[in-house]
Amino acid sequence: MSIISARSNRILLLYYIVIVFFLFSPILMGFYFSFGEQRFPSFPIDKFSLDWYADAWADSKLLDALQRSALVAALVAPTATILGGLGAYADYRYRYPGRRFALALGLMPPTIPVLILALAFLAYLSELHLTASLYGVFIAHTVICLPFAMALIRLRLSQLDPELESAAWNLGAGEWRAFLHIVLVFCRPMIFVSLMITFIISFDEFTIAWFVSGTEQTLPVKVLNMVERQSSPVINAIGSITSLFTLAAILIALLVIKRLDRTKWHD
Amino acid sequence: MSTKSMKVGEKIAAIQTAMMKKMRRVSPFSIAMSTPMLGYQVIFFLIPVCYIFLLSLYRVEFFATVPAFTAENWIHIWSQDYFWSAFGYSVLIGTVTAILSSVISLPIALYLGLSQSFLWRFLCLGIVIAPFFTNFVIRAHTWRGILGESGPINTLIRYVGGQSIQLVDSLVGTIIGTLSLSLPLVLLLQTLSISAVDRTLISAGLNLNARPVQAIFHIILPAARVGLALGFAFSFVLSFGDFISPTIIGASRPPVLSTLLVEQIRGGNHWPRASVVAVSMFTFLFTLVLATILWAYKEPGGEKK
Amino acid sequence: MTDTLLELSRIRKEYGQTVAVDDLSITVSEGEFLAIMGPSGCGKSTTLKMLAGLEAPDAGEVRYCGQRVNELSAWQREIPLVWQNLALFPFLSVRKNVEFGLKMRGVDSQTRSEKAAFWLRRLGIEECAERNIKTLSGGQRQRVALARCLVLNPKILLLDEPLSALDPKLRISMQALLTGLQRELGITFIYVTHSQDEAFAMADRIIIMKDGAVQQNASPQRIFNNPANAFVAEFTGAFNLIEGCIKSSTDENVIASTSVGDLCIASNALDRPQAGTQVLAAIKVHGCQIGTKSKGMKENNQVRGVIVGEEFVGSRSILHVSLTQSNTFKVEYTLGNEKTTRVRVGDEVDVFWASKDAQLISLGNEVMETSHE
Repeated sequence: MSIISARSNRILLLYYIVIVFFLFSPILMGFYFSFGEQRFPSFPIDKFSLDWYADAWADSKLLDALQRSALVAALVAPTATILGGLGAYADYRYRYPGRRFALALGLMPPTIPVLILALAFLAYLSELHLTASLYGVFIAHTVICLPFAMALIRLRLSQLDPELESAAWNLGAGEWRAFLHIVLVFCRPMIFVSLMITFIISFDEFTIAWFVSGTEQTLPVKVLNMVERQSSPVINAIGSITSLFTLAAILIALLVIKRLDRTKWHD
Repeated sequence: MSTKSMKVGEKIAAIQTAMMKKMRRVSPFSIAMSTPMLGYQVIFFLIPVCYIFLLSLYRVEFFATVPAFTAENWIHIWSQDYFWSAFGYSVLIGTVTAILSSVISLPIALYLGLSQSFLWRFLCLGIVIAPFFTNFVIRAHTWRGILGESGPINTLIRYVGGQSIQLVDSLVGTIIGTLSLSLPLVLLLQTLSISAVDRTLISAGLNLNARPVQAIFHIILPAARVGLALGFAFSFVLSFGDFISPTIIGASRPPVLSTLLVEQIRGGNHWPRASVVAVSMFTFLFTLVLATILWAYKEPGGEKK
Repeated sequence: MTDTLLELSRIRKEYGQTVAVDDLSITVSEGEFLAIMGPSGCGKSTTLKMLAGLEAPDAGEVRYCGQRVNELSAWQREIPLVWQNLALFPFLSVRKNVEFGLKMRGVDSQTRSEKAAFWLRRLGIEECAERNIKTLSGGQRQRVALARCLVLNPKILLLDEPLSALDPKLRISMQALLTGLQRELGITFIYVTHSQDEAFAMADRIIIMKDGAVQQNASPQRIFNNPANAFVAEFTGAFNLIEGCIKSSTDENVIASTSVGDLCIASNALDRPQAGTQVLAAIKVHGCQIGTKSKGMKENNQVRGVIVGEEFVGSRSILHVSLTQSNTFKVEYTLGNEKTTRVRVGDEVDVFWASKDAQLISLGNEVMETSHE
């Protein structure tokens, strides 16, 4: 018997929808505005046009920025996934002194305000002469994407009965082969999810890229410049497209994670 | 023992030793597994963060940062009124956002957390989390459009005959921005902790004559205290350190610590002073989160046998 | 005759396709210790939850002192429950746990404190009052759970397998505590368990359930002496069962032909069954002995079998004697001293019993007698 009455349940559902609407309104509105002919978003839109999408496509600097974002993200995704995945496995399998410290280090970046991290990266990477380049952005993004990869893969590993690895060893598989044939195969779906999520995070990340990239601007940084110059509707056009991709990726990730529950190799 | 069984015994021992060797703690395999992540984070995360502590003590000579051990940056920044007023505003934004997001999320967290269906909870949380991954700069920019003079809200207000309200370029706008940032996270943490409450505790409470509302306040919330506290803490951290909402939606009115930090970089490239702001922020937040966690995990009584 | 305090009338409860409880009717009198017993999934916990109002029956009525209370929600009823996993609030101290129900009823702080202190003292745990429940032992936690309910001065107390997590020695002392309390306070206890030992040790009356239906509702003695059907007989573990066909009957005895030969069984309250009726003979394990004819056994039933297993209970053992391929009888056997030769697994022995220790049960699970003394 639930302690929430049926009537309260309906009200709460309605309330939930309102909140979802609130959270999605910038995305929905951005989408709406991108079709407006006027330069400044007004409500309601008088004339519909696809001009801004055409403008976005024509802006070569914008496309360059897009390319850079995609490039960095494409490199960050596998790197963060591998590093995070190995960290997750080490935490799953071993009990060593300093395990907690490693775990903390692996999961801490999202808890520190991004601005502080951005400054840290700027100062540190400039000492290494890696700023004003995409290498710096790549390194920094890996640091902040790694925790997500680690958390996701660690979650998946907790569904794996440790005795399965032992059984593989017992049957003659060495540690490496057992890892390859048992652990990796089991984690495959989540590795896929991790690649997607780390890609999105890197692609959409602004603050760190802004500090570190200098003239090699990634897309979000370029967007900020445009925001400051008030060239708004093109921003809406870009925003609509990237949001669509991001949301689609999240949807796929959720579907994969949900299906994982049925493929537990434990109890 | 016969010779045959001795040979078997030896063979078993040999296999066991071989297996032990394979599973020995320090093997190339274990090193290959445990060092990469740790090494990477130490080099590219731990050291940089420690570096800014150091950086706050450096000096700037002729537009270049020079290693030093001076407190002049600290004195300079901490003696400015604008630093403390920015600090105050950051705390204000953090607190208001944390309170608002916790209160707004709670009914939904109860609804989802107490729901029987794992699938429904997963679906609803998934929908709420999704916007979190989209580009925040673009979202903030669109908020400007929504909350602005010619945006849908004010248009609606004027349509029904009212006066348009100032939402952008103000504290209100900033808070709306930080709210949209922290609500998903708070909702997630609250829902997870409420769904983890042992259901028999709730039934036991009802059996002891607690009405549903009493069950919520006297059983569910205390039992979910950790998640609720963490949600509040992280919402505060996110909003306190947010740069995009105050700058884009609030147009730096009022200026907050994050604005200040960026100013130090952009307008003059004074990294040591920027570090002072960063370290101040970090220390403050760290203490706050630590205190929250300690409070959240505090147990009643607790004398050990 | 004591009043009927609580009554379940034709209760039915379904979970999707599964029927947990079907056409269940139970009456509970004031001051009695009632045990509800049965295998897992028989519906006993569901019944308890329906009494407490935590589940609603799909059909039937729950009546308290004659009044229908189906619509009364859980928090409006005053039937506290001692939970199987105790359900103590980990975020409250022992004292606050005990005071909880009083607080929910709006009792003021002073009174709450006094009542809680009284019960903590009464159950011997007053020094634990301010401690966190995680620091208590299993037995202490049990007492907290009890105190939490008793402080509310209930007329009825529900207990859902409360002792199942305790070790044997602690279990026995807790049983003594519970029976002592029940007698002293005169509270009606409704005690759910799957342990036959517990039920038979503590209860005035036992209801045995299977698949959501009552199999027998009687005192422990009666269940042992006159099991209502095959299930109950088997459940007690105190009977050897064998199928047979009636050959003839007299006023005293009935002869049934079985796969181990013709058996002589005492007639019970049944009308004399007709020849040819399929029946189940239930022979008390306690009445079976092994031995040789030369010892002068006067019992009128004897079969031969082979010992296939042995169970130990202290100095006594229970031998499993295989009579035919599908019939194994349990026989009690005392080890005696070193001088007497022991029987071992594999030995051929004769099993004897008197007809008075055997009775007829009709085949199937129909309940033959539901009256209780």
